Amino acid sequence: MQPRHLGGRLPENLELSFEATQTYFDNGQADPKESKPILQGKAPNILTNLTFSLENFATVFRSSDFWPSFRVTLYYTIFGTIGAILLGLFAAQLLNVQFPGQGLLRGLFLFPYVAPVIAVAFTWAFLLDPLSGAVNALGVRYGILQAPINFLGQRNIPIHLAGLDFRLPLALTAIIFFEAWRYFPFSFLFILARFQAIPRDMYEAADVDGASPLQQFWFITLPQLAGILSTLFLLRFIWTFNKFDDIFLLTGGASGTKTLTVQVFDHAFELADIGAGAAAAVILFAILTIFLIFYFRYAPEGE
Amino acid sequence: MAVAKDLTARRAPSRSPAGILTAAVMGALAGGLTITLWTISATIFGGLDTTIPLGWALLTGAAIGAAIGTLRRERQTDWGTTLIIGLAAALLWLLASAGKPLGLTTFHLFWGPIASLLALLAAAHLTRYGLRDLQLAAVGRTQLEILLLRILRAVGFVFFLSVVIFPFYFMLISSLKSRAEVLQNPTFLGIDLSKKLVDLFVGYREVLVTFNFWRLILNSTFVAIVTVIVTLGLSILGAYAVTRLKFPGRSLLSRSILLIYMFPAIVLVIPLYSVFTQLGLRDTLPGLLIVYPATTLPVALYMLRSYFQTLPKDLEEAGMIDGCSRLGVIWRITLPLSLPALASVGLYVFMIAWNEFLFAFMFLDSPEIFTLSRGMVALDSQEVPRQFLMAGAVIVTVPIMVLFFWFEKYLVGGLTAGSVKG
Repeated sequence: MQPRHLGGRLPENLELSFEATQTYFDNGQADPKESKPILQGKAPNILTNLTFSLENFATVFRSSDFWPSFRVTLYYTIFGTIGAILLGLFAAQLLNVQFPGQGLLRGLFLFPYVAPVIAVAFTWAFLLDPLSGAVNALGVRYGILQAPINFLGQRNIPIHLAGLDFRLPLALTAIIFFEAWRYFPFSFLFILARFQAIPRDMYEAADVDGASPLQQFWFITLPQLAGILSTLFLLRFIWTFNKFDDIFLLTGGASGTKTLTVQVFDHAFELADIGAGAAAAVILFAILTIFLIFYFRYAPEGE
Repeated sequence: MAVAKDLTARRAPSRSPAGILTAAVMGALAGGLTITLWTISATIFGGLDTTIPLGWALLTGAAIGAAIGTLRRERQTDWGTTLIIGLAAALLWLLASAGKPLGLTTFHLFWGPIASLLALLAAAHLTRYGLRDLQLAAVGRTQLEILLLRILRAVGFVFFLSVVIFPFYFMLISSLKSRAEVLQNPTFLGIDLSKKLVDLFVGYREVLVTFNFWRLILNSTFVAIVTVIVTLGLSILGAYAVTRLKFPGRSLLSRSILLIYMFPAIVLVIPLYSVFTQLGLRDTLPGLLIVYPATTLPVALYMLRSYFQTLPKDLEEAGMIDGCSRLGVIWRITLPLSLPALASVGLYVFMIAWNEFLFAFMFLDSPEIFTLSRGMVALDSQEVPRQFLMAGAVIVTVPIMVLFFWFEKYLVGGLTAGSVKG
């Protein structure tokens, strides 16, 4: 990881010059280092006065990476959400049968979700490390990768697929995979609970009618899951949109992964401009409000 | 299943060319899967240099599958036959490679003959199990779909188990390896047993003693427990009020709980940072203890509210008639009835407070009041070896995992009841 300015401390440098006159020495203090400097300052409290401006919003919108980070956020949110829900659906399908050890497996599948983000983020950062990470080492050993790839530090990677050339945003894809990995247990639990509420006789009737397993999944299971899937989509969409910790810890917003939340952090603490940070936060919240209205309008009450 | 039901097929011949082909394909996939797992395990756990002999694996698997498909009786292959087929394949595999199984570059008794034998036996068993009850005499769409879903299922189990366990295993193993060992053989993820115990756990000793993590454990525990107590105290009263008492604005309040619950932390952190700095609450544990209950309260309220709604009103009314005050009713009737819900809410709040990163990171500057998450960032910025960081990660993760496994049933119930944020 590249060195970052951590801790949210404001980088303040004050340079003060002093001049000691003869009267100072005459008063009996021979060594000027012996007296401690006294610093005093007075400023109006910005939190309690009533002067307002839109300057901060202008700063945010004018900054060159506002629109790119808006696009990155959308990619991250949409694909992260879909990935987590699809994985959750698959996992729930696997555990929707009674067998010994089912409870243990259900507990195991929740691991990524309950583990502290700081621990799993560092672990994945090391796993994907280009120099000594296990993923790159294994990939190179078995000839899947020609050379180690810096998954979290490379913005784009050219891909040739079926005669088509395109550039895959690599670091962004990596954090989307992380998001799907970490949050699939959430959808998994809900979908599993919903599975167990589907009446068994629907499948028995379908068996009698000679429906194949895939037909049963498509025409019985999926319609039964439609409600929970849409609720999960909205919930996860909102939470992924809000996500900050994971991205910040994995890439710090570098190499094309700067989402709006990281943008808020950057303005406020990295560039030490609390006002612009707050403005970015307000913009983020305004976008979120649109999703929230959607959620409260379309999510069924009580889910 | 539907397949077992049509009895007429029992009398029909139990195999056909198409059926044997299907069995061979199934066998090839099973062989490919188990042989790949075997070679990768030999590299990861045994530290051996391997290549995946995919072509040979598919071929052997196909042969096993064809044999199992041919030797079926009444839609089953019995155990003994499967075992013999697997053994025969392993023997051929050994002979063909003159004692050094394909895929390995050096001879190794366990990872060579024994493990390849196990892999081929597993392939034979998987094939037998995958083909159970299937009608191979006339392969139709339903039969193929069932087979396809069974294969997907096997692949799914392997995929999810490795994806879930591997990172945590890697975390644990990396905390026991020095940088030199990692660079020497980065794909070997086993434990070097020849090392002395003291050297093995050097990362933990350094992190706990030199970097004061024992103190951070106490801090994190303290913060998490106080958060649980405060949150539970407030949310019991709040959830009770929203479910049982009638007052203007009740439904609005009830809905707004959910709204706060979706509020992004990064938006809250800026105003709180400014205000707390001015009030002198930043970089103090009390400051953190104001923020944590505030962020966990909506979750707790929401979970408890859903639970209280399922409790019968009659008991409480009976208590009121017998002369209990409102608080007396909550204390004597509602709370004892909702112990499971309280347990799961408490655990959840503990988990959120223990894992919390952003506020601890932004608010705490003095090392003596760091929580574990904050301490990990500090450790990272000091450029310590990766081993130490992973030891720290294990220290942060283990308590939550132990707690989680211990109380798993409460947690799972609570999660679905309250849709806990993440």
